[in-house]
Amino acid sequence: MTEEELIQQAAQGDQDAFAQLLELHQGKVYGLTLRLTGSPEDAMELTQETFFNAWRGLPNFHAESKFSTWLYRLATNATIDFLRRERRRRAVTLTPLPDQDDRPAAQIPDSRLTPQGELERKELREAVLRGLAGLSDEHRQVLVLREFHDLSYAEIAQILRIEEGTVKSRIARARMALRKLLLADGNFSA
Amino acid sequence: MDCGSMLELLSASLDGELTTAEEALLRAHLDACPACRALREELAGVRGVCGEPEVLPPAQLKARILANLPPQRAAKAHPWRRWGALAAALALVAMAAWRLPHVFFQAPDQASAETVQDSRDAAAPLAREASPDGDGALTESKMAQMAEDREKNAYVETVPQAPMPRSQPAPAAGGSTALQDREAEDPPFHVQEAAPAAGETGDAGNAREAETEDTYQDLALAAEGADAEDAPAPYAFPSPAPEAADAPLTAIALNPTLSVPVDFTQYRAVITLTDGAFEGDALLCQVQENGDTWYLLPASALDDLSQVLGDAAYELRQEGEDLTRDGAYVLLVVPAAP
Repeated sequence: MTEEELIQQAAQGDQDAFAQLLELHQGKVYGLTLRLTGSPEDAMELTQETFFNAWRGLPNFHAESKFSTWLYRLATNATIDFLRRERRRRAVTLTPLPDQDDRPAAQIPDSRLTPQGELERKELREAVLRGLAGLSDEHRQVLVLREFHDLSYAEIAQILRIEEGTVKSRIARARMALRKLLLADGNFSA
Repeated sequence: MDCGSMLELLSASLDGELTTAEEALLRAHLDACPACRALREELAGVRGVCGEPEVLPPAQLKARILANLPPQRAAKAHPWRRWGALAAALALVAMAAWRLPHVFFQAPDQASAETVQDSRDAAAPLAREASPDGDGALTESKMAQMAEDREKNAYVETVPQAPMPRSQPAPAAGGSTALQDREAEDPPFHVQEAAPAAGETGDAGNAREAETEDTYQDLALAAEGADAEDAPAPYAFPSPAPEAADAPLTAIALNPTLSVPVDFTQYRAVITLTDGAFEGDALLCQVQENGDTWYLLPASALDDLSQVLGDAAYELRQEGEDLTRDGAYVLLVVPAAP
């Protein structure tokens, strides 16, 4: 079945169809909420909440946007609310994430933040994950959506309900903020 | 050239989001500016080490989700949804043909008699076209069905029916019914053959042309005296009884028998105050254990937020599947002082 068909079926109450949609998308939603909160437990909760809301609202999802865009929006809304609520209740420290990635090295010119060797890549990646925790919520959101989920400015604008121009400037500032954190983080070699 | 103003272009170039003109501008600058070239490479380097979007979740996540699915919301039945734009446009044309000659050219009585019949004739085929069922009209029974559907979807059970401190009718009984009545009479796109006044007042409202709306409503009242009784009453925000209005907020806040719904699906919107204080009226108020104060406001508060919130700065969220467009309430969160 195509994803469209799965959505139609699930919208009529077909839980098996929904289970397949879950398979297709839970990795992305979990990945997003994990990088936004730094906590696997919180990411679990938020992913559940996202899919509960998706199931509940599916009968009224009329493909005004892509299904994944819609899911991302549910996820970021849930995360925004969560961080706001929980931050009041307890000190939410976004913990830096362990490195779970092993992409092959790419050709990047020489520079302090442009690692050459695999080791340097790994170190930089770990530094980036640490750095994400130090960013503001707004900067972290746009950066994760762009750098990890490869979404266009238009899609990010749809997800966060902001103007494309705002996405553009926010990403630029987020990158500079992350760069500042990386340079201050002495743990990767020059 | 100013490197600061180049930053956004530089960043956007990494994402392939530049126009050709912007590309040219950036390239010209980069040719002349080694610092920006280096910066661009650094940012590209950071991009290059970021991971894949997917992270494998724990194995039990899927099972947990599937085992605990909440009830699905019924699809909101709007047969006119697809036809909405067409119906609205045609309805407006019919209305304009009916009303404007009346306003500008003819004596009221004479105009009504003639143009009413003309535009009813005009509206009839339009109504048939616009309704996908082909029977040409949204009848009273269909409107009643819509009201029923809304009632089924309204999550008002958890708001207690106990008397409110401000001596208002309990919102579950009084407030939401009035709201449902108004919504039943005023659905988004609505073309009728009979009772054009009531239906087209709704259309005029949705056309969002303030001046013309006033004109139409005046004309509706003048020309269709009998139908004016059927026009929906505006939602009345319950006003607090005089003595209750002076009740100190803490007394209300500490009343253990009342609670602001925690289930967000009852809300049409969530407002969070970011600066300033809330000094307005609320249906309910409750201090949460984290120190935040939650206020329950009627959804009509959204119509005039600046009046309700005064000078306070706030963030408004109306989107999200945890909220409901039919929600009868709005939640106002005033965070605890840091």
